[in-house]
Amino acid sequence: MSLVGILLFGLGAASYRGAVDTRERFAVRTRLENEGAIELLAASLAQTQPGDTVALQRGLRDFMRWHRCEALRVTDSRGIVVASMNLDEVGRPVNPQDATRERGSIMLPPEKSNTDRQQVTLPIVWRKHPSDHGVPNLEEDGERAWLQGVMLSHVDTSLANARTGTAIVILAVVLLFYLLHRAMRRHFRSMSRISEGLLSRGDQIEQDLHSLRLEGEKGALATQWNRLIDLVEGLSATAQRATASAELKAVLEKSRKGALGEVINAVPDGLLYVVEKTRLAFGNTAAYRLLEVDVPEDGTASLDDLGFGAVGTLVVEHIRAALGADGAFVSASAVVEAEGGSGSYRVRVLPFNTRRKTGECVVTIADISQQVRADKAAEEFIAQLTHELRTPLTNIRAYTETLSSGVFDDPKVISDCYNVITKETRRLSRLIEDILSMSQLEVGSIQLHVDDVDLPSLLGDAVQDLRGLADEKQVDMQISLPSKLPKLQGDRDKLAVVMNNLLGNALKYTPSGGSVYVGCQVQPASATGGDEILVTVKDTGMGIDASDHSRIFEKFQRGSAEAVEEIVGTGLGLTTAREIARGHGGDIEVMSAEGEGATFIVHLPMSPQDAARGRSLQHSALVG
Amino acid sequence: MANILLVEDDVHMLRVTSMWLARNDHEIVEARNGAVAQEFLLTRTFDLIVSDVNMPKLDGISLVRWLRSEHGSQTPVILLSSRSDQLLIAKEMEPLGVNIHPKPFSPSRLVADIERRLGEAGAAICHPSTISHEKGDVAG
Repeated sequence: MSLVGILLFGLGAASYRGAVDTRERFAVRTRLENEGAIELLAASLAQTQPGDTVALQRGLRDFMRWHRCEALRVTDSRGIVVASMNLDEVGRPVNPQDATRERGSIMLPPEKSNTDRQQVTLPIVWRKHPSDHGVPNLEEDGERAWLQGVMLSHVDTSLANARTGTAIVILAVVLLFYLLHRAMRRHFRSMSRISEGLLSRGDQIEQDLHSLRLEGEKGALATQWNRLIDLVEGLSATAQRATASAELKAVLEKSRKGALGEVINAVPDGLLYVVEKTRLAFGNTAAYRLLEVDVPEDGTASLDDLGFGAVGTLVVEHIRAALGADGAFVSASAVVEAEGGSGSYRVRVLPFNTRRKTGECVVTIADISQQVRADKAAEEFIAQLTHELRTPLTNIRAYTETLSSGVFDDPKVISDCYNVITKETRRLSRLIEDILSMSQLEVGSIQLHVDDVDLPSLLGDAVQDLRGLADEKQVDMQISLPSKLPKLQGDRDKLAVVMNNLLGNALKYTPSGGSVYVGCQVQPASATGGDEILVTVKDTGMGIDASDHSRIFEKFQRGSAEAVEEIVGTGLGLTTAREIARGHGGDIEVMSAEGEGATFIVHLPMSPQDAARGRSLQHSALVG
Repeated sequence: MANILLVEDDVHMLRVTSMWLARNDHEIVEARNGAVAQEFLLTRTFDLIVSDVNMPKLDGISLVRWLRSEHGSQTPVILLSSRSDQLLIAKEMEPLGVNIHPKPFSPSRLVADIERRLGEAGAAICHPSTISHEKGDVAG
């Protein structure tokens, strides 16, 4: 600023001095020009006739067209004005103040208007004899008059204007500079801070771009600078994410093809990695299978672009619902049900926000269909069990109250009441025993203690145990075994329950005079590829209607024939028997028609491999 | 005297309930399951239906749904339920004008509940009483 000020001052001083010098030079030249002009006028007027005032006046008038004069007159030798630019003074003596008789010119002091004036006085000599040089000869020439003029300086006026203009220009420049400085001061300060910030950080500038922002600064430059910093920060973050995504993509791509990829794809639960709120960065094989969508070619795709199946659509809806308004995922868990109850899936969204990165999450999809079915089956079993236990209790209570009320005094009614109470008490007792037996079968699997089983011995014992009942009912019970029977691999105690239940049912549902047959044989098993033992229990009892063949194996279910109601039973015997047979890798089939007896055939694999496979039962003994 | 349809697959429960209701001079029609009850309902009307829930062929809940929708009958119904989900059953059945009576129950209390229900329905008690053992073919 000081330097500029000195420069401006020097410029002004130089301008002023130059103006002064110019003025002086122009003043000298103007004087000479005016003198020359007056001399020419005098010479011109000398060409007129002496006393021709009109010509004199005309001459003055022509001169004034080209020259600025304050005064211009011709006076005679007596001092009387004979011609003048001011017609009022013609014929009058010239003002003594203005009268001069000396040839020459003088510079009059400037008046208030600061305009230079030059008074020029020249004689006008009418020649009697023209001379070569034109210089008036006072001795020989004739009449004489005096030409006097006060001429104004055009140059002075111009100089004054130039001086004034220069001053104005200088002031304008100073003012402009001041205003420019004021306008630029804010920018200069911002630029100063920017340059200081950039220089001070050196190579570390990229570590913290945010600190380069001009906080608290106003002005367009500061605003735009801050916007630039924000833009660079955003671009930097985007570049970092892109780099990370590219690196992650490379890692994921590598993992897909490598051992890690094989491990992840072997996981039965679906696994998804979502980035940028809606972009699927990674998914394992199970996930794409559950979502019913093809794996994208480059491994990534937008959730909006993939065509999901019914379950996938529900899963994606759940993912979108877990996205908050701030663009970050929140923890969420829900069960998605497929249409028609074909499957149930637990979907968990786990936020994966790190380092201010949002919009990322890990999604797990677990197939819980079996658990849901098991839970529902358990609920139904509990409901059914409650009913089965309460039914005999209801009868016991009702008949007990009937007896105790004393309302019914008919002996037959009283006797019936006691009989029913006794029967229902026994029914309740057997039911509880059967339930306890079934409870020994672990829910979801049956634990077998596998060993060599002497099946002929086992069957012989079962028949012997029921021999007394058969004799009591006068039912003929026969057993037929092959001479050679290979050892069976199985759980002897559990197999004994099967045989006792089947033989017991045969005796229960066979009337007096009927017969029960027990047989055993070995045959090739198409299912296992090895041999299997078939145990047949055949009776000549009431038979089972074809519509009940599958129902009788369900818990608490019995034949629908009316006569079945008269026979005590819990509806759990065949259920237990089948579960045990299946636990050994076998099964039980029934062939029967109502009124034509029934034949139950137990299929039992013999090979150790089949028995081992049978140790883990897929069907629940209690809830399936 | 009221006409009461008694639907129960347990023969003992059917017998004792009929005995107690007969003391109040009601005409009792017995059905061993919901399907037999439907056959009766297609041919005659009743003042009250007392039905068990768990029965073969057609259970009590399905019978009520058929009664109210397809048959269009508003006959009062009392369901005898020993199930653990009685609350769920009541939630669906009570808006249909069905009362739930839990098992095990006291016969005298059941009779009292039946009489109250008949009274609400405006049924008249008449004499003499008969028990109609019109058991349907259970196996059919």
